[in-house]
Amino acid sequence: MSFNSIPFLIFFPAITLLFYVLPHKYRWILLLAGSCIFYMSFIPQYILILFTTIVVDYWGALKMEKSSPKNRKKYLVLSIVITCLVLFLFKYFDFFNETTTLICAQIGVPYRVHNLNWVLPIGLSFHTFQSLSYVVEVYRGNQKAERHFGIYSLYVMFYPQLVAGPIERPQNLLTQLREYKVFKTSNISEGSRLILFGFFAKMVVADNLAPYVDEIYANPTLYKQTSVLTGLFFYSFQIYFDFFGYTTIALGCAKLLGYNLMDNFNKPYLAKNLSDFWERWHISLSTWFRDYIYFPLGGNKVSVAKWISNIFIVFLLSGLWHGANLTFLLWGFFHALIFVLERFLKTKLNILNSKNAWITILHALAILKNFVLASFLWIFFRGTDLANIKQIFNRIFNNTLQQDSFQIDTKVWFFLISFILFDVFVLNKRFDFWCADQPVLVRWSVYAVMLFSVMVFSGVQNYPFIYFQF
Amino acid sequence: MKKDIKILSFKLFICGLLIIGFSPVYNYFFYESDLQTYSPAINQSYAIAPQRSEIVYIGESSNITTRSDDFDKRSIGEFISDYYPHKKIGYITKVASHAGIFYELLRNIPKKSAVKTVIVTMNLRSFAADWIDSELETPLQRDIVLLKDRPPLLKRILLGFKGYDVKTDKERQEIFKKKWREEKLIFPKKFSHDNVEEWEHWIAVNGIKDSLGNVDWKATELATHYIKSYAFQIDTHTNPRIKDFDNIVELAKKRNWNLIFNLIAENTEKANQLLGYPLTYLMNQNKELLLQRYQKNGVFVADNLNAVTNKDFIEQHWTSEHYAERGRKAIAENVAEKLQVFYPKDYRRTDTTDIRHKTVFFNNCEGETKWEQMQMLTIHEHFSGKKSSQALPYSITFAYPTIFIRNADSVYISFKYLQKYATKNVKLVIEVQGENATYNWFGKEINELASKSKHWQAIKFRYPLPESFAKSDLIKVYIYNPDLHQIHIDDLRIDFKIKI
Repeated sequence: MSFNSIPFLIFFPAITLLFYVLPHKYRWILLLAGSCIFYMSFIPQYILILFTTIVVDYWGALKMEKSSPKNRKKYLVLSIVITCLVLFLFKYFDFFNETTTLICAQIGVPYRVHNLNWVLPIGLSFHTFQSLSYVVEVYRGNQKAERHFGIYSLYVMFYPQLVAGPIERPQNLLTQLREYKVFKTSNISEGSRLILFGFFAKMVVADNLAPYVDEIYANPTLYKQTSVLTGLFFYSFQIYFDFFGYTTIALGCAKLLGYNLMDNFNKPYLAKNLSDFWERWHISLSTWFRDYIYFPLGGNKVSVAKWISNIFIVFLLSGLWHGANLTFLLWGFFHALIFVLERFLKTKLNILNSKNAWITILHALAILKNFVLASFLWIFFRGTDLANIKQIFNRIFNNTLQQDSFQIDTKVWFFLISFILFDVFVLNKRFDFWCADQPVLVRWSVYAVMLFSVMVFSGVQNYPFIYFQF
Repeated sequence: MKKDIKILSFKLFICGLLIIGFSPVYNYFFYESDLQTYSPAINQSYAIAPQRSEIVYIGESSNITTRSDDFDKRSIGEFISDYYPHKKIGYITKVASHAGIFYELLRNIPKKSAVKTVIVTMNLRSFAADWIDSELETPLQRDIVLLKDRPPLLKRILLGFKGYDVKTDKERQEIFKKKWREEKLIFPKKFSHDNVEEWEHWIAVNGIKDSLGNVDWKATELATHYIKSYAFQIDTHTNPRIKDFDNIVELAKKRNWNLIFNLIAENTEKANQLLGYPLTYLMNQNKELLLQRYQKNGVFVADNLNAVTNKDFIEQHWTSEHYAERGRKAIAENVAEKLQVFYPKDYRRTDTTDIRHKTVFFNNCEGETKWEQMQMLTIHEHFSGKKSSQALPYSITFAYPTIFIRNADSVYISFKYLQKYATKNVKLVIEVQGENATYNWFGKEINELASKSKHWQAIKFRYPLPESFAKSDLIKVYIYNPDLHQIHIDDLRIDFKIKI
């Protein structure tokens, strides 16, 4: 049951309505049952996997809280190992197995273990990380262990953010799940606004860009340089609007129920460098890596060599989080490399901090540079394998075609450009905040245009949310 | 709280008004364009009324697929019209489709049409599990969303929110593999395999043996395809195809149409050769079930299951219902005979084996004359009519058996040509091939024949046929555009000059 599906359009108003009708003490049951139905609509039996990690981390946290500091660590490690083992078996085992087979074949060591070929449970990486953040916070003493098994289960399974985030922290979500939520029109308005905006981003912009991106990545050799470049810039927008759309709908659904989820994006393509980009892109994941990997490794309060290695560890793990594939590892590697290089150049040149008359132009150029850079790095993310990535780069830097049959519908340009202009230049803040400040007529005109666009111009091919696969 | 609910109700009311207001806007400005983009097959249904067609033939690729050595490349429907020269027959073809799609296309034939009789292709394989949940099913279901009998805006919303049978290829595979595993096959005699999975596995492991007792792996692979495609027993309660045909029967009753189901041929000869009685038993059992069920419902069923011999099936290494000329004619003949029930006085016996010896061939690129690479036709440019052919990298291709034109000494080729940009490497290709002839590939640079104009221009070329032509089997003529430049051709004429 994807957000952009008819069953969800029936499911979520029904849950919201029942939520406000039921007394507070029963609401968690409703939300938990709804979340189970939502999750089981993908692959029903996989709820048992989710249940396993919930039980392990619930039990681990309770034990940790009651134990001596030495034993606390033991329970933390046990919790992390079991939770990560599930993730490893489903997501990484086949990749490591194939890599080991390849290496052993190269060095002549006999090794024969069959792949598991298990289908990846939807959103596994997301709820695994959310569970891990809970046990770590309990271990650190920042969060009390949740005694109510149902409420804890709901923290892991809360349906709006179950399959693709934002990856919440217990301090934010767990606390809210215990709060009594009063019916407020403001919540309904804000939530609905966010949902509408999310649908627009995903269905009208991202899904209309997707066929062009797919075509370019499927047959790069058939297209000339400019078409391939268009395809790769389109992908930058497709993945942004797709994931941003999902997150915005998630935020909206939660808001309708009175819950506030964390923001996941802050105009990432306005970043001036990669460091800035990662403060704006998939914020819940980048802060997760910062808080639970980068800082414990010492962050930047270490020697330069150690700092560089910390950066590479974080980005390689981030690449691996997205998928068990060499292409994702390369994506993480190049992000780390450029991140480090930019940091050195920034301290040496310090151009953007100077009070130069040309500073606005320099900032604009820095934004453009970073967008182009991020777009080129997405090639490693989107490419199906190394051969495909090589074909794309080859076509970009070694063009032999003069013409091709790549034609883009005017409607696609219109929505892309108007959305970018609207998002970047007009708003400068979150859509729902901007909208709330507008006079009624302007506000409802915007709603009408968006609603009409979602109904009439949404992409027709079935493109699941890109981040569902992680 | 009460105030909040009032405000919310008012806002919902405004939303409702907006949606009601959107509906005529969508109908007027966008619906037709969406239909043309997402369900272009509807044009074939719409065309039936102005054509004043009294009989409609609807089918999938079996209707129009041809083999390169066919003299007459017309469709089954067109062959049927030879038997009824005074009746106007309309054709609807949607490749890779099935009765569920045919139902929607038939339903969209305008009510004020002259249609009295409908001939519907009934493909036995379309009742099989792997066809019901083939990877084509999701796009097919998407194609018919806008054809359904619902308000246009609602249909567009359903299209955007995937309000149809959407499943991933993997999910569909799981469904049909489960059926292969769980649906028990029942035979009158004891048979060693209970279901498709077991049977297919046994064949795959043990293989099909040739006359010397060696395993023939190609035949084995083909046999596994045959098992997966034909080893099933139709359950009239659960098989969705039965529901589709039942819907067509109901529709015909409602529209007062005569109905003929054309149960098209399967390669039963090959099935028998590979797997013998058990498989042909199942095929014939299913056939009998369909005949009885629909004849009981007043439908005339043309039984063509065994009408085409193995050598007239185009694909020899796959299961398909693509027939060479003789196969299409055999089916047409049977259907035409069934049609006599409704048009006894209009039937004319036709000698379909008659081959008209032609030396001049013309294709206006409108789609009526069937050559190879028809998918190259486009509406983006045209010299005459509404369409032309692109060449990505091949244009529509003339392919013709040379048996009656072997005494030709040259061929005159003329066509209209449009290049949007300066091109190079584009060639006019003439290929001559045959078992006893030296393979001859000749490519004439278009740049040597055309000016640099970016407007339509006439191209003419005379090619003296090589000596090997006298022993050849097939000639092909096409434009080859290896660099995929945007070029178009139209009104292609090929004229063979016979030695006197």
